[in-house]
Amino acid sequence: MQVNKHYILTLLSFLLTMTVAAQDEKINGNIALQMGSNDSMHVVTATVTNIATLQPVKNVELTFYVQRTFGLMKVAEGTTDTTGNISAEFPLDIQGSDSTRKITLIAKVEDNDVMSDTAFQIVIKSRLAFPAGKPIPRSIAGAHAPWWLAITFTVVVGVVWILFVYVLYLVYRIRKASMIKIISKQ
Amino acid sequence: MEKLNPEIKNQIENELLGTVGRRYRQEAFWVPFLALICIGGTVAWIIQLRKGLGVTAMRDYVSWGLYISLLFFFVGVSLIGALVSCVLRMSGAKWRYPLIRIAEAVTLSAIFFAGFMPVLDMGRPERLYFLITHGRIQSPILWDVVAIATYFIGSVIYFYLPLIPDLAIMRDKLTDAPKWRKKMWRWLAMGWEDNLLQRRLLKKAMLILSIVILPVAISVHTISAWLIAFTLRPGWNSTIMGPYFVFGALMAGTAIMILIIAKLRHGYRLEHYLTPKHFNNLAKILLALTAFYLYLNINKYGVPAFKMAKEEKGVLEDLFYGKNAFLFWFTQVVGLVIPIIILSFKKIRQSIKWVVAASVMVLLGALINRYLIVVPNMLHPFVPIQHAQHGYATYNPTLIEWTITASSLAGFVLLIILLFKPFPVITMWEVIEEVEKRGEKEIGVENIVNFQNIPGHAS
Amino acid sequence: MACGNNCSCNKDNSNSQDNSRRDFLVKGLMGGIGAAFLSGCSSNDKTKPASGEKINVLTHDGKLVTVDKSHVADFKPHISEEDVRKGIPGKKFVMVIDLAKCDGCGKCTKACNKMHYLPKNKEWIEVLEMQDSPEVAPYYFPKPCYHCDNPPCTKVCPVDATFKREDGIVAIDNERCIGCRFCMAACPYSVRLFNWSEPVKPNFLEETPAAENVFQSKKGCVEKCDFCPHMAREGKLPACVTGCPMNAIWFGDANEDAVTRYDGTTTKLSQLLEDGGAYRFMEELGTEPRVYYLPPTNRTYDAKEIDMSRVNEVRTDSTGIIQTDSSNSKK
Repeated sequence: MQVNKHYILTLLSFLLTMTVAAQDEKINGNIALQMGSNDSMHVVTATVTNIATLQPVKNVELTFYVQRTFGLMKVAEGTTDTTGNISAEFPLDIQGSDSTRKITLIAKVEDNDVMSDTAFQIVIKSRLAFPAGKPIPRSIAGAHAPWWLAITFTVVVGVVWILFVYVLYLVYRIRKASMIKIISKQ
Repeated sequence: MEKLNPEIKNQIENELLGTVGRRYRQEAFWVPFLALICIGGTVAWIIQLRKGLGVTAMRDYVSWGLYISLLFFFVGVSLIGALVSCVLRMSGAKWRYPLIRIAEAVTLSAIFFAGFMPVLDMGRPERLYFLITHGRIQSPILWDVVAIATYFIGSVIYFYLPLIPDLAIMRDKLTDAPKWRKKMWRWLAMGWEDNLLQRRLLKKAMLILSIVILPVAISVHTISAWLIAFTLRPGWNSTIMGPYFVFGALMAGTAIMILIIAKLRHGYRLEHYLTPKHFNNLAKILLALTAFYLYLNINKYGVPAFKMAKEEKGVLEDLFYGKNAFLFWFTQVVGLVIPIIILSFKKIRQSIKWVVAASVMVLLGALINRYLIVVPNMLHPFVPIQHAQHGYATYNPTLIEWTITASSLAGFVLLIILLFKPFPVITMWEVIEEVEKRGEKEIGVENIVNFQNIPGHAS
Repeated sequence: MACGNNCSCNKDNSNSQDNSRRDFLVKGLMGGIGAAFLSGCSSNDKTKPASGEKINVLTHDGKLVTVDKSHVADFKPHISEEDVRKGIPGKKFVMVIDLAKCDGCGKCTKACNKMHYLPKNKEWIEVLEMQDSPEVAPYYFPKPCYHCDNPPCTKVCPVDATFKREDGIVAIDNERCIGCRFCMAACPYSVRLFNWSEPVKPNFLEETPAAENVFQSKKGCVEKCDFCPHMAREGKLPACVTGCPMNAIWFGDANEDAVTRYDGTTTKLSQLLEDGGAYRFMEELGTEPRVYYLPPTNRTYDAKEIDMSRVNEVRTDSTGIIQTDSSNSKK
C-alpha cells in the first residue's frame, strides 16, 4: 500500500465521546484514523484502543461514513483484528463537500457489545474536481438577457421610435412652414 | 381630370363636416347604453380587484380565460388600420381613401382595449410599473407591452397626420363652433395652409409612417400569438401560431370594418362616400382572407388530427366531438365555410346586406375562435388533471367575467363612436384631391361632383 | 415553528435556569454528529463573552435547554435578497423519486402543506395515478416542481419574479410577482398554483426575503414547490422527504453526488441513478428537470388497487378558501 502524501496524515484528536450512563461495563474507546490510498481506492486504517488502558480492542465493528449535507453516507465497514486494527477501502470517486474538496470521513461504533457508541472523524481531500458553481449566464431563462437579444430588441424598438420622432419632427416642420402666425393670431 | 369647382369642393366639405358634433337619434340611445355597460364593467372590475381573481371562473388549470381571449381579439382587430393604410396603399388601391380614418379609429380603439385586457387579467395590477423597473426583455409579455405601446402611439400619429388638413378646414369653416374647440383646432392644425412645402412634408410623414406601421402591427399580433406558442403545451406548441393569428386578425378586422361602414353609410348618411364599391372590394378581401384562414385551420387542426399524437389527442377530441364541438364547428362552418360560399358569388357579393351578413358570421366565428384557442388547450395539459376540485377542471365564466368582457366590447364600440364625433369620418382633403386626380370611380365615391344629385343633406 | 429551525427561540424568557454552557453542549451533542446545530453553536465559544441574556433552545433530540444568547447568536445568519436570488453556495439540489416504493399515501403532500401552511386544496407536491397505456399496470406518481435547468417558466416571466438560482432551485419572489400567470401557461407540468383569493396567513413574521419564505402564498401571485431552501440552509431535508414513510423520495446535492431519504440513508446519487434505471419526466421537452424517477419495477404495493376509473372524479374533500363556482355566480 502506497501512502499518499497529498493526504492529511494527521490523526484528528477525538471529537467527542458519548457515554451512556447505564452501561458502565462497556469500554470507552478511542479510534485513531489514518488515511491513504492505492491506485483505485481510498484506504482507511483505524486503530481502536481502550481510553482507560490504552490497550487495543478487538472484534469491534466499525462503520465508515462520509459526511454529506443531509446525512451520513456509508462507504465501508469492518471488524477490528486482535491488534485493534482495521483497514477498509472505499472508492476514490467521492465528491468533496465544497469547493475545498474536503471530505469528512467518520468512523462510528454503533450498538456494539463491548464498546459504547462512539464516532471519530478525519478530513481528507477529494481527488475529484468540485463542480464549479457557475453564475446563471445571460440567457433567455436567466435574469439578464443575452447580448444578441438585448441589442436586437433595443435596435428594433429604437429604430421604430426614432422614425416616430422623425415623423413628429416633420409635423413640426409643417408648422414652421406655415405663413400664418398661429400663436399671435389669438 | 381638372380641378373641382370650388363650389363643389365647398359642398363636399360642408357635407362631410356635417357629422362633426352632430347629435344622432340612434346615438342618443347607444352612447348612454354602452356607457352604462362600461360602468357595470368598472364595478365588476372593482369587485375583482378587491376580492382577487377568485371571482372569475379561472383556476389553476384554466389560468387564462375570457380576458386573454379578448386580448387576442382586440389585438387582432387593431390590424385593420395597418391593412387599410399600408397594405392597400402599397397595392395602390385608390378606393381606400374614404376608409382611412374609419380604419384608424377602429385600430386606435382596439389597441387601447388590447392594452387594457392584460391589466384586467393581472393578479396584482398595482405592480404594473414593475414592467419598467424590473422588466426582463426575454419575456414575450414585455415584447407585447412594448409592441402594443408602440403600435398605439404609431396609430395615434397615423390618425393625426391625415387629420391636419381636415382640422385646418374645420378651423377655417366652422367659425360658429365654441371657442375652446376653435382654439383646439387651430392648435392641432399646425398652421396648415396647404402650401406646397407643407403638402410635401405631410406626404413624406405619411409615407414613412405607413411603412413603419406594418411591421409594428404584424409584430403586435405575432407576439400575442407567441404568448401561447412559446409554451410547451399541446395544441399551443406550434409554429403556425404567428401567421394563424395575423390572418385571423386581418379577417376579423375586415369584417368589423364592413360592419362599421355599413352602419355609418346610413347612420351618417354617407351613401356617396361609402358605396357598394367599397363593400364589394372589402368583401373580396374578406373572401380571400376567410378562404386563407380556412386553409390555415385545416393545417392547424387537420395535420395533428391525422397523426393523433397522445398529447394533442385530448384537445382535438374535445374540439371535434367533445364539449367544445358545437363552438368549434360553428366557427368552422358558420364562421368560415358559409361566408366563403356567400361571398363567392358575384351577385351576392354586390349586395351590401349579404356582405354584412357574412361579416357578422365571420366576426362571431373569429370571436369564438379566440376563446377556443385559449381555453380548451388549457384544459388538456400534458399531466392529466386528476381528482380536480370542484370548478377546477371546467371553465364556465362567471357573471363578473361576462360583465367585464361585455363592457370591454361595449367600450371598444363606444370609443369608436366617440372618435367619430369630433372629426369628419371621411378624410376630406384626400378624397377631394384624389377625386380631382383620378375621378370618382377609382376612389369609389358616387355622385359627389354633380352636387345637384345630393338631396336632403345637411350642410 | 416560525423560524423552521430545531431551535425554538424564546427571547423573552425571564425565568432563567442556570445551566452551564458545558452542560448544554454535552446534552446537545448526545447521540450524533453532523447536525448543523453543532457547528452553529460551538463556532465561537471562546471569542464571545457571555451576554447574560438567556434563551431557550430545543436540541434535536427534543430537550429544551437554556443557554446564553451569545452562544447561539450566529446560529441563523442573515440572508439577504441577493443571497436568496443567488442560492445556497456550492449546492446543486436534486431529487430522486422511487416509483416502486410510492404507495400513494399522500403523506408527502400533507407534510408539505403543513410546512408551508397550505390549505387542503393546494398541493405543491401532487400524487397522480398514472397508467401509460391500458395494458400496463398503473403506478403512483408524485409530482413536485421539477426545478428544471432549462425552465420554461423563468423564460417567460416579465419581471424576474420567478428565477433560476445557482443551486438549481427555481424560486418565486412574491414581492415581485405581478400575477400575469404566463409562467403557469408555460409550465408543461401544471406545477404552478395561483392565489385566486386572499390566503389565510399564519400568525408569525418571516425574516427571510420572500423567495425563501416558509409561507409563500400571496393574493394575486403564483406559488409552487420550492424545494424547501429554508431547510436546506440548515442541512435539513424538505418536508416531503421527511414526510415519506415509504422512503420513496431522495433529496440531496448533485455536487456532493449524494442523496438522502426519510430514514437517513444516504447514497451515491450517480450510483442510484445508474442502478435504478432512472429517467426524467418528459425528457423530450428539453426542460432538463432536476427531479429523477426510478421506474416502478418490483413495486412494494399492489398495482391493482389503483382505480384509474376514479381519477376524473371531482374531489369532495377540498375545504379550501377558494369559493366554488356556484357561490361566485351569485355575485
